[in-house]
Amino acid sequence: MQQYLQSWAGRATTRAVETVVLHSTDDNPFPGTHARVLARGYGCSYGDVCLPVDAAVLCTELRRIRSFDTETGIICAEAGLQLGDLVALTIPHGWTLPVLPGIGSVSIGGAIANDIHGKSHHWAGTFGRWVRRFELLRSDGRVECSPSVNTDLFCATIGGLGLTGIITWAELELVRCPSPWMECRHVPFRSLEEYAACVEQSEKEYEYVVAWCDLSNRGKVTGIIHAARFCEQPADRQMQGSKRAAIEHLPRLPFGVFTRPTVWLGNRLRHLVHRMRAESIEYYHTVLFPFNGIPWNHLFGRRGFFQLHAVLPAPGYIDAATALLKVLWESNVPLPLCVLKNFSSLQSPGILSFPIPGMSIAIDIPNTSRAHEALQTIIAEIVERGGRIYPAKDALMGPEQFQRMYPLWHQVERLRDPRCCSEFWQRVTKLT
Amino acid sequence: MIGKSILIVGATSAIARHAARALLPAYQHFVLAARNHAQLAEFAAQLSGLGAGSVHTLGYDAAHDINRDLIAEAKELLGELPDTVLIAHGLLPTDEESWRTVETIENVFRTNTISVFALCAQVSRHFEHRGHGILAVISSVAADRGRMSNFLYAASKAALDVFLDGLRLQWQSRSPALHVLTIKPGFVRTPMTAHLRRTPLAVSAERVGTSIARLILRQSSGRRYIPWWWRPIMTIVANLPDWVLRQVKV
Repeated sequence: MQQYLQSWAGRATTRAVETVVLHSTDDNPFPGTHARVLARGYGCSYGDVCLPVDAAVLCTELRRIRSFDTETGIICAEAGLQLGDLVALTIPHGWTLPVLPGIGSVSIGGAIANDIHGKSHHWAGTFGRWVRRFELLRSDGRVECSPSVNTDLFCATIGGLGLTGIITWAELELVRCPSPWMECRHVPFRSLEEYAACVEQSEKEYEYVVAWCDLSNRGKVTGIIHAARFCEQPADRQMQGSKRAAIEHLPRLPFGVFTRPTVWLGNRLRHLVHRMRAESIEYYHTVLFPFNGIPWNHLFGRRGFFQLHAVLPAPGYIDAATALLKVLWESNVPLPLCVLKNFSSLQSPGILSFPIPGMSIAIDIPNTSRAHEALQTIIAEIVERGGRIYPAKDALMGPEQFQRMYPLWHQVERLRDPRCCSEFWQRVTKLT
Repeated sequence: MIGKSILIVGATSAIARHAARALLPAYQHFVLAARNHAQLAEFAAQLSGLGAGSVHTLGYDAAHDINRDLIAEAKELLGELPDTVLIAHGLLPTDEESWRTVETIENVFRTNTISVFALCAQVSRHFEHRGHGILAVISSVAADRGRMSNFLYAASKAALDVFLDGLRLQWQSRSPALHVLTIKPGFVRTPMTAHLRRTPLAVSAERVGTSIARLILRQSSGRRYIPWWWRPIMTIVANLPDWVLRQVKV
């Protein structure tokens, strides 16, 4: 079927592409023609890494659990299973994924291909560190990869943006959790310096730490550090299902709701809510998947939005962040969301893995020409300072910039399946 | 056993098929009960192909197997009680005048009402003992008001609604983890309604099936209309005077 595919942030393929649904029993999904394909899950990547050039292989029907050992916490599942569904199955048995993104609809294959990180980076590192082995479907057959077998392909696939083939299943390591309930603490901060001091303390005590920032007052960064850890089952709480809001199915709005006044108002409300409670006990769902049930991407309207997601290297990340925010404030764009997270020095096996020690900053910006210009300036600045941009979120960086940030990209290009390509890879490597 | 388990009675109906598909992957273990063995086997194979952990089938004819303890049979197949029971079978008489024969009356009530009451009683016995579980039963919006057409069907479903209301109160007084969900779909395009005139209010079986799955996953209870706008419509229809319904002949 020919269709236009969209990324999470609203960018669409430049032309209609062929889509094929892959089933577990199917043999070779590479169509008879010489089309270049790309595995695709639920389209949760913001930029063009999830947009194919000629054809997309949809892995959404690969949702089988192949095996699960409740003693050792090793699960083998097909790549199209969503991480939210996976933890819903394992948490009743006392096991959870160590690395979870902010939205549960990410597939296992996507999590490996983008080597995702989460609120637990300070002890768990990236998703790729918990992958024991997986199967790749390449144009020349099936290959099983693990840290000891086909090591180079294993390392190229983790963070490999789906270019080395189609991941069909993966074996993952889980960690223990005593119950589905989490103890949360919300610590306010009034400057980036204060953030840096508080976050270190929180990371010592809590497993999941992330900071939300309010950028609506020019020149001033305030926010709240959300820290959480799994706790024993509280006596007064009942096990409950996922309570999703009814607005989940809101279609993409014809206009964006975020302007500087509405963002200011929203941030005030959020501060107010958290001033009333510094500590709470919540179901894992509300803590780990804050975006589930909110059609956040649809609130930006037809033009979509950009997410600037960069890591600023460890010494001097406060200066870098201040410089970057100054550019954004001067361009007068609304900044509805800003999330901070510190990255530890834990290494990922992935060659193109994004995290380096330092501070990760993610800012959502509605798509306007002013935002476009400001982002170009910021990306250039980040490259100069030795930082990195996250390919999964990027829409703007140029080939020189990408190749300076990820000097090892040649290794992935060498192992890339000649029949796999994405719009992103075409852009940053200038391939045609 | 990883994942939840469900017993679906009337599993080959279009709505139940879509609901079962949408319950994956949170639900991994399925016991499917239905009358048509061939369709049942075909659907079971399809469901395992989609990634279900285990799929069992049971031959069951609602009109005749009233005395069978289906829950105990499901327990034997699964090794434990199912977390959820979805009752989806139903009979809609095709002939408008058929309510005049005792045979049809008995057939409709045995299928739509008595067999469901019997199943509910069995489910109750097992679930109340265990302390948690979801019982979801497909009723109909038609049950809210007798109309000129199909009122035998409406009456059989109305009895069901009232029975489930009572059961819900009973269960709620025992444990907050026992849920009775009365699902009231509006006009759905399914094989059962293929002979009826099409209306603009009709929705697809897929939409109803996924909504049912969502309600079950959210552990909702109460009378739930699908789509939700049938609730205000039926509130109005239920309160219309007779002469209006006589005039519009719906």
